[in-house]
Amino acid sequence: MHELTKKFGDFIAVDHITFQVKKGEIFGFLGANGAGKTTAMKMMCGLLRPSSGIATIAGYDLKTQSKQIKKRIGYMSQKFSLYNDLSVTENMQLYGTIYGVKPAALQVRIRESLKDLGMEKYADKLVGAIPLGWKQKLAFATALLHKPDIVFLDEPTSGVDPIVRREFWDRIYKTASTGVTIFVTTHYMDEAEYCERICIMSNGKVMMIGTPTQIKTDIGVDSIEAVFSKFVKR
Amino acid sequence: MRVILMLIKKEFLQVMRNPLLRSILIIAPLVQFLLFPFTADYEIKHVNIAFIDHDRSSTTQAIIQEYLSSPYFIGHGILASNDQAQEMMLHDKIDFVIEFPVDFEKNLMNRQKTGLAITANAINSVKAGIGTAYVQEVIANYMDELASAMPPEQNRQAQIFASNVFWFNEQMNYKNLIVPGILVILVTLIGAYVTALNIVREKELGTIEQINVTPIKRWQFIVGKMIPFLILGMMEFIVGLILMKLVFGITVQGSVSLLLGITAIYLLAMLGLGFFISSVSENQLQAMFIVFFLFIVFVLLSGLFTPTEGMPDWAIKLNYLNPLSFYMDVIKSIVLKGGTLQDVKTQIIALSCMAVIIDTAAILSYQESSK
Amino acid sequence: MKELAMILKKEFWHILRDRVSLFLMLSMPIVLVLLFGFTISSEIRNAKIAILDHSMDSQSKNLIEKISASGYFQVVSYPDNETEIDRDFKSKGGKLALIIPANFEESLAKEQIATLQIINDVSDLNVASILNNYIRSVIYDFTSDYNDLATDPLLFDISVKMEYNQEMNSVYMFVPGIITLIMIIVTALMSSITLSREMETGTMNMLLITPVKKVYVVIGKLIPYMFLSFICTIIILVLSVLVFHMPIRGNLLTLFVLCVIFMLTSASFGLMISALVKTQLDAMMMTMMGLFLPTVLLSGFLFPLDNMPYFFQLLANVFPAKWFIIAIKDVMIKGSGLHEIWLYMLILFGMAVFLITISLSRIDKRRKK
Repeated sequence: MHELTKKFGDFIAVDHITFQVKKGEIFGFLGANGAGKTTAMKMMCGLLRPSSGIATIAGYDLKTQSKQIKKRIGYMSQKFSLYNDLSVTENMQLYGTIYGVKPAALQVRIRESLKDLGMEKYADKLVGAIPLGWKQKLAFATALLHKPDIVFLDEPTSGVDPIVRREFWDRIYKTASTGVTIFVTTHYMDEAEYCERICIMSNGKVMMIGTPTQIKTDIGVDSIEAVFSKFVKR
Repeated sequence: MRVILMLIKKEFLQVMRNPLLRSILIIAPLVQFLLFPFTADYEIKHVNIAFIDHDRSSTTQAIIQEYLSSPYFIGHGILASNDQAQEMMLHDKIDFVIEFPVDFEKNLMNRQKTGLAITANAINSVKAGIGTAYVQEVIANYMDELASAMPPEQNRQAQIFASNVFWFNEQMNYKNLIVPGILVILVTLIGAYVTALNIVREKELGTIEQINVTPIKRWQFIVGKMIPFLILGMMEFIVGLILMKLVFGITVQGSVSLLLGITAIYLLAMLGLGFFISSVSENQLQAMFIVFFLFIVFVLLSGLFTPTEGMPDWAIKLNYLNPLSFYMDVIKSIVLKGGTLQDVKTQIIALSCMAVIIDTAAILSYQESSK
Repeated sequence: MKELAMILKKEFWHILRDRVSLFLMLSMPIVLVLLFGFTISSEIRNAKIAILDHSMDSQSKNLIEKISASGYFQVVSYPDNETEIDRDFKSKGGKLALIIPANFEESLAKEQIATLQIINDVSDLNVASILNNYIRSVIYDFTSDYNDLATDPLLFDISVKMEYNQEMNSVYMFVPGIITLIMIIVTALMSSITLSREMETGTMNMLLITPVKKVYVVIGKLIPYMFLSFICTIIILVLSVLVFHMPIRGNLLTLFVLCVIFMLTSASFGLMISALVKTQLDAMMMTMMGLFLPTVLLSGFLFPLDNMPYFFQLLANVFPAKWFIIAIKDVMIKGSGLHEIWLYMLILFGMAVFLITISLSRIDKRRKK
């Protein structure tokens, strides 16, 4: 990712950001609301076209090979966006099919992931009717159905209770251990500590990149929260 | 292919589970077929008429009798004065006043110039215009009779009679005008309105974003949206045809398969329009406004409620851009007159071109808005 | 009062922010007036006629010439037989066909009599009867000319006077109708949608638990849309006076008071609908189906009420549009004053009070649940 920029008219939402993420890494994107996290992520997913700059994702060029990229990534937006009026299984079938997972394999994967989530009892329930925490887990599982190389999670845990958040992060670790790169945005400071490396954004610019410990020592404070408030004050 | 089938399945499941959409699809045709034909009745009957008779002769009596015996007119008596007529007209009691001058009969028989005066309440210009035609028709018929009844020696002048033959609606069923119009409204509504709202809703809910990060191809997504609504639209149309037959006894005079084929083309254009509108609008309210706006313009220009022959040139030219107008022509021609492929080929070409252009615009605009 | 001003400010701000909807809302009256004004007309020009001339002599030529010179007709084809007439009706848009018998000139000269045949496309009965009237008057003229007017057996002329509306301008009928429709759209539809949106998102509850009086909250939501529809009404009136020369015979103040009362009635319909539904989309559908459609069909402005089955005539009384249209037509066209239309105003006002009362109590009940 190099000098990636997105302008909306005169407003520069993302200003020449540059960084690299290793395979299998849990990479956190940190920033206040409006810092440009979601915009940056949307560019990487191909939802928004960069105004300038270049990026390589999963080995493909963002500008010219967005089709190939889309096949290799999973995405979970901050707004829950599975179909509320389809059942759990139907949603998974829909997305699995769109990603080109073969029917037989898809059936197996859906069964496995539902079992894994402990969601078998919800399988035929309409998604609109299940609790929010379950919805988030389902969205994550759905984003993984086609075994992507990278998963983008845009504030996956906003609005859910601490227990579910904890469970969710366990899931993220488990997924990362299978070699999937996790790219996550958050504004929960404690969650930043769970990431292997974090990138702090403010006003569309990258302020700092490094492991949480590294950043804390560099700034000379003992929590990410303190780091963060330092940047926001500036 | 599997992807598209999956999308179609998804769309059907959603439609079936959405109580509002379900009720629109079921109730809309019923309401329209049961409400419109009984209320949207343009036929001018019940023309309220009164007379001022300064002559009071047997001829004027006979003419007045002609009017009273016609089913179209409701007599409101012979008035004493013009003032009284004015008063009644002001209160919408009467639509027409016929005034016979003094010596009407005498002058008529002696071949002196005479005449009669018709005054119409023209606030409702349509009723006044058509009513005038009725009023004059009665007099003309009476005069024809009178002339032919005259002894031949008095009648040395040539006469030309005209007889009428009525085609395409022998029973003079007025519903024939409005019922095909309902079919058009029904198809347009499903095509443009429901599609536009459906897609904008996905946009508002954010579900469309989730689809956009997948490697799905644009045409796949659009086809996956269009086919279900195309099928629904066709189903609505067929229900409409059945209701038309059952409730009003109107059968399609021409080929039903031709009609279905053209309806599919028209629906494709309307679906594209709905798609296009959903791309350019930010929320459901805007989408509704735009569809509504276009719908009114299309309907008014199409001649559904008023004959296109009465329109100024620019309106007639504008109709070359109005898919509804072409489709209306097709429906009228095939349903009422038994038109064949040959008769409606211009309209088919026009509709096909429109469908291609609108659908292309829809695909391009979708691309535009998603990036 | 200060609270009300605040709510008003917030609501106006909402309206001004959605530029597209605002633009559409304000341009709708303009487009409607122009379209209705120019497209609805009972006068037909250049109707397509097919002429089957079996005689091809100088008199039949004269007749055909007279027909095309009349301005009412445009001869689109000269078919050779009835099958071809059928074809021309279907593909060339012919509405009328005239069959001139063989030896037209000869029979006129010798037997003094000739019979023409008119074939009407009666799929649209109104058009057919207007055209029939036109063609017969052309034939009548032709006969008179042929006979040399002075010796006509029945010297007869009909004068037609169009009272109140000499130019037969259809604007008289539909301007009141368009004002009605726009007010329904802008006040009833918009207020039902915004109110239900606030209830859907829960912001309504937030407003209602603040110490601001409930009535203020509701009035604050309704007034901006009434204001907008008032602007639309003025646009419509200005256009119809400037472009279509429609007179406003009555008192302007009376007219405005009447409009404000009707706005209140439509707004209260909007309020009532929002009290019944749960989502914006439902509100939209319900306003369209339950208020807009009946207004179009049952207000008497497009379709004559006395043609309808009795049931529908009764039903029409429930909707405010009928009363408003009668009253506004009286004021604008006949110049009626307040003392002549007070009853209609009272009916409209009564409807508004009734609806506001029951919807407020409904909203209250729903909140407490």
